[in-house]
Amino acid sequence: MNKIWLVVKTNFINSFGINKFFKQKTNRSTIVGFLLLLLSGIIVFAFFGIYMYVYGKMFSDNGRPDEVLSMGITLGSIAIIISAITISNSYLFKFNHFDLLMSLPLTSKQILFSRIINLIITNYSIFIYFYLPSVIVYSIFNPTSFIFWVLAILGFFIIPIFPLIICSFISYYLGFIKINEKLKKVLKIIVPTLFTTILFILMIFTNNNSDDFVLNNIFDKLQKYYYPGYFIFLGIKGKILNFSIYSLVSILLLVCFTFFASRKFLKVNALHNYNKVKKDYVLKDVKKSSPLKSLFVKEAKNFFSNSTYVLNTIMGPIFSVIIAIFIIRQRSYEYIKIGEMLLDMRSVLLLLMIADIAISSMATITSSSISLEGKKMWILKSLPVKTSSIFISKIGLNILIVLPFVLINSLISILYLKLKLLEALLLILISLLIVITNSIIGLFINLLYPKLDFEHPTVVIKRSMSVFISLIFTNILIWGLSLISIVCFLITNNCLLAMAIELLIALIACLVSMLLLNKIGTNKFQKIVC
Amino acid sequence: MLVVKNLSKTYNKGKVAVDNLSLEINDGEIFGFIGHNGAGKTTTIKCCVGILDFEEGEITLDNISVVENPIEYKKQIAYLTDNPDLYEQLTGIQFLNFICDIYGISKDVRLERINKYAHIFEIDSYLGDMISSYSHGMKQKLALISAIIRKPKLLVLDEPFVGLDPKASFLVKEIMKEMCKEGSSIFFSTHVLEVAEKLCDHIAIIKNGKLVAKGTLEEVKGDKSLEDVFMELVNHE
Repeated sequence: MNKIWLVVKTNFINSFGINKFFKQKTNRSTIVGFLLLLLSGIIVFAFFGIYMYVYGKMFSDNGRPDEVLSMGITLGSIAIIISAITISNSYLFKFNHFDLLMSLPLTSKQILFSRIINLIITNYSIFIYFYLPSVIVYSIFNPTSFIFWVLAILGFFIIPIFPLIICSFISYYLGFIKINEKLKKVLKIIVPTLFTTILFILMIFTNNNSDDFVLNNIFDKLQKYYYPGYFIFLGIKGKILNFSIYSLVSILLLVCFTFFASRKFLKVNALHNYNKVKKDYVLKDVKKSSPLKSLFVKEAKNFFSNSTYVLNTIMGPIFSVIIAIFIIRQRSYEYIKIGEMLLDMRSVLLLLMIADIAISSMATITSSSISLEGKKMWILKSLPVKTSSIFISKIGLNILIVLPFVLINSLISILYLKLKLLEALLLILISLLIVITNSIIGLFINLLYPKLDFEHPTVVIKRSMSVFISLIFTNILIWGLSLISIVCFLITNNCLLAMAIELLIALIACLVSMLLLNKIGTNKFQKIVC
Repeated sequence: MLVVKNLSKTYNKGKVAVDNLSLEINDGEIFGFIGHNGAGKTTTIKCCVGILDFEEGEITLDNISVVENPIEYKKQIAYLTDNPDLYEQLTGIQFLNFICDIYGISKDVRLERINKYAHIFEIDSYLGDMISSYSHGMKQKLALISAIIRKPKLLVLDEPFVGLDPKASFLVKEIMKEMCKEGSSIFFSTHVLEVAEKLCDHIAIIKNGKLVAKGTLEEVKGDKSLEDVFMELVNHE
């Protein structure tokens, strides 16, 4: 047990970069980064809190005030399932320090168990965003006792184990299936994307019809399809037997998985490497490209080879298209009354569409693209290419991935809102400028806060300082711009003028970000020690 | 000709990694850089290939400065780390092609060079496989090929023989000699004194960031063995 604790502790310190805060002298940039990280965490919590409160109120108004907790548990568990399916195999069986740990006097069980604990700890950081707000909102609309809080706190630690271990079992068996690596990667991207998209469509499109539909269809169905969530929900509400059974089953599964998977620990790890070797290559011809194109292709290959990276990026643009369709459905209303003003609904929708298109660029590829170079940074830095070419290849990929969604959303707006040429042009220009600016901001912040010594790419993509800070700035840009345009529209009742001002500010933001990248970013890139 | 003049590099916490170091490497020369762990070899090498900035000094290759004209400078060199981390998700051929594209090597030339060196290092049939599936030695060979096919004016190698099998080590030495005959120079660090003794025209010994000896092999070791000289120099306070 002592050895497991040692490995867990070392893993934890290493993967969460704990030493940076406690052992090293903290400089100003680390403190600023930490504060921004804290702020972004609060913003995300606030977002989930508001979301949960809206649903909590709706449930409460319909006489089912406790359902919000069930919703938090179910959504949190689904988020864990999506995350675990994609990352558990690499966390448990193909991690960076496999050779080192296996060479130490540790058993496979000890190593695997320590990895599972590491995986569980990582997933707590996802689960907390759903669970904590739902518990707080539950306590607002329901009377709570001391026992409830004890069970709710214990529940936080217990609930994620069940879905996590089930997914680890699935992932473990998938590791034995010898399918084409490319197909495996495509499936890893498509399955969670479809799953999350369908869930999002169900939630967003039913929200607007009738409360009863939401209550009776979506969450009842979720509870039916994910019964363990409902089971432990009853447990936290006070059914001690439910709580005990869920906890026992979770721990039993954890122990079983550790014993079971550790028996073939080496074999699974070897399979990951063995599957890929063909040894049948015959060099016949090669293609020649320009350095910039070659850098771009390299970026694209790196991007698509990491399913977590793709999923993290692609969901925002997909959601933006769904939201666009949702916004457009409101077109039956001709006017909207705000205070004394009677506003043209079409113009309001148009301004909302711009904000929606901007959302598509929020999860930027660039905010982790420098960090993901990791120990390979020496290749980029020793190449005879301008730093600007490296930046362009990274920003270019971001734009290329987001661009189709921007165009789809623009097309939806043009067709359904029957935009005039000038309106369409302004819409596209503003959208493009925001996409470019967000890509540059992501890259710039990653240059300020690179994390090259990561244990696993997922750490960089999902929970690095750079990603969180970029999220704050892109949010400020998007919502700041939207606010300015809407205020301008409310004052002038002139949509074109509001759009023109938005375009001007977007252009300034873009130029400023370019300047920052050129002046400070280039310097930071050159100073990166690899 | 590589000229390093009064190079000094200090890390953030005030640790002096390289202290007023000067050396020259002539065309067609194999230059060995020897020192204990943490002596400053890798820092010097990284400064010389333009991936680490430095506070003082000057580094030029054929009068092209690494600071003032880094692109032109880097076009002339190839660098290889002691433990090359490559783009694991690319295939071997994709990685070589990427390097060739960056260095603007024509299609025919790259085809010929890749074929030649991949065959010599016996990894030609693996070029279609992902780099992540390669063994350490194979990655080392691939990285070496990616450096050699550029036909650089200066080849900089940090511990090039780590992880290579005896046959590959022999081949690397032969290729190094062949490149020098064609006018390239080679600057490499090593812990293996026998290799330095057999291969180098000139050597330099670094201790705590300072050069403590440099010159031709004969000038440095005199009638002693290189191992004896090295031990005397590094143990001398």
